[in-house]
Amino acid sequence: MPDLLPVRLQDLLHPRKSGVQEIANGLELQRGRPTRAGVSRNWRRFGVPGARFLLDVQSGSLHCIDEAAWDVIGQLDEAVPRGAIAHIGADQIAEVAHDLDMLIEEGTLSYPDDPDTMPNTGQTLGPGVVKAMCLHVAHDCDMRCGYCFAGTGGFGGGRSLMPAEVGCAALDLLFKLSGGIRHLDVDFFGGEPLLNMEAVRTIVKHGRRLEAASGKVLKFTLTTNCLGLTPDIGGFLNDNNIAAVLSIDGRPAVHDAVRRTEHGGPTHERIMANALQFVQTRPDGEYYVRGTYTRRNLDFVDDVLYLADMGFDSISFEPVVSPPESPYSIREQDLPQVYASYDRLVDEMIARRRQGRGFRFFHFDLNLANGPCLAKRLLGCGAGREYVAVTPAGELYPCHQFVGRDGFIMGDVRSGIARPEIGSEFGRAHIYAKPVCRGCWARYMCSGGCHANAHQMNGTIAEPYSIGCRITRKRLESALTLAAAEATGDSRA
Amino acid sequence: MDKKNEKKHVKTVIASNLKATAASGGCRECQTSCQSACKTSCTLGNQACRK
Ligand code: SF4
Ligand code: SF4
Repeated sequence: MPDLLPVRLQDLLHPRKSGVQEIANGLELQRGRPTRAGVSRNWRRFGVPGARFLLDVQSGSLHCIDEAAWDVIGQLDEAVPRGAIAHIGADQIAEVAHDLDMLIEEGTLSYPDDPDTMPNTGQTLGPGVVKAMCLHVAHDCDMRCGYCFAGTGGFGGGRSLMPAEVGCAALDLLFKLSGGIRHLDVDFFGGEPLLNMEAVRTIVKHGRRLEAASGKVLKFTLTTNCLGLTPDIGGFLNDNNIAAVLSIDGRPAVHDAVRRTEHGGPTHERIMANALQFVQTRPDGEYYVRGTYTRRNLDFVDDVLYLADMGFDSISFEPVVSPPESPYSIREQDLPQVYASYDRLVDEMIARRRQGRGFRFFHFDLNLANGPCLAKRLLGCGAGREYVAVTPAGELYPCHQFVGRDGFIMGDVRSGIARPEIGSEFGRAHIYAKPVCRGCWARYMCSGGCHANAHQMNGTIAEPYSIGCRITRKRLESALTLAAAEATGDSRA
Repeated sequence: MDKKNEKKHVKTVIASNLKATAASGGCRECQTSCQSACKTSCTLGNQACRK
């Protein structure tokens, strides 16, 4: 089928005007008629009961549109029969076209077939500027979660702890490889990093020394299951300004069904007590409570709300990362329920914010007006280039999820990066290089998805994991809905 | 407001100009942002540009 629009709006509109009316006026004009593919990749319409939105993919602007605009754009997008907008009337159609023209003039709406903009990347995209590191301080864990992608801590290898010297050498390398970059990030990850607190303390101290000597800013984050989160450790995190990610899966039954101790016992009660105690000691400190949802709790919205009711105000929930055959993995047939959970979450968040008891949901926290630049959005996570993971033995991997996967060792903390070609390959896997991302309306907000998931599911980093894509797009739509509700001060009114 | 500039059917709620940021290759001072489900890293925060 040719990709031209079967409906010619010029039949309905005044002839010869600029912008969208120009679009309608067809081929003899400069830009020609937009293709349907162009409309669908650059103009994203979405709606919730009572409200309709248009996201301009290329500028990142968000518009509220009425029913007439929705239908007229729908003609361009979906090529619905001309009769479908017959009820609107030529005057209104012309008004809609005028409005869209104005947006194009203002720069908050792209012309559908405008090509993607290339950033002016004068710098190398290879692994020369590592600016973030994930230190696997413990390849061991005091819990045995059913879905753990790290093989309950060992990442497919033996259990081990990172010696403090390895962590310090990693920071030395980070400061060296980061060149002129000022802001550096280091995550303490595992397994369970609290099993190796002595090393963490030494590494933090070393990092602060490097920071003072170099004038750079080093930001630490620690991810913990909270089982061993004592007031003393909490105090250390507070005193050293270390952001915390606290893993809790929500309602007691949901949590305890998956997150067990080494001996198979429940963990919810103890973890909750530790986490609440800790959060109360850092009113301004950065933290997230993060949960994992699986196909066993597709109603995870109730887990999010449970955590909010318990008093946590920064929450994140993520779909499980597990192989398709796992009893936990999200399957195609689960998606409607997943979508319904995000819809309910948006409703609840709007309602709670109005009541003055709102909370932050990590994935809905889009910074639409002042988000990252195009260059960053093209390349996404930076695994293997700007971000590397370090094993307890000091090996470097593109990121924490690649640890233990064959063929991905990039080097060592002492000798540096020995295989820069791995980073270059990740650098080439940007959104313009992946056919499915090129046509995707979410490309500038998703940045192409997780390479590790793509590699796990499809055996290549060039093709994203499709269920992940569908969840990402739904989540982004939900985030945009919430942003629009906030910006307009109303919700679905 | 000038009538010509009035819009009846659309209301801009967030005006952004991502294209304009293409002029640079990026200062790279922003936080790293893992997109995987396995890691909610506070280092990605809400992804504000640090400039
Ligand atoms: S990874 Fe998927 S959701 Fe993200 S931009 Fe690519 S196609 Fe779109
Ligand atoms: S490859 Fe995936 S897991 Fe690794 S840093 Fe990127 S998004 Fe995160």
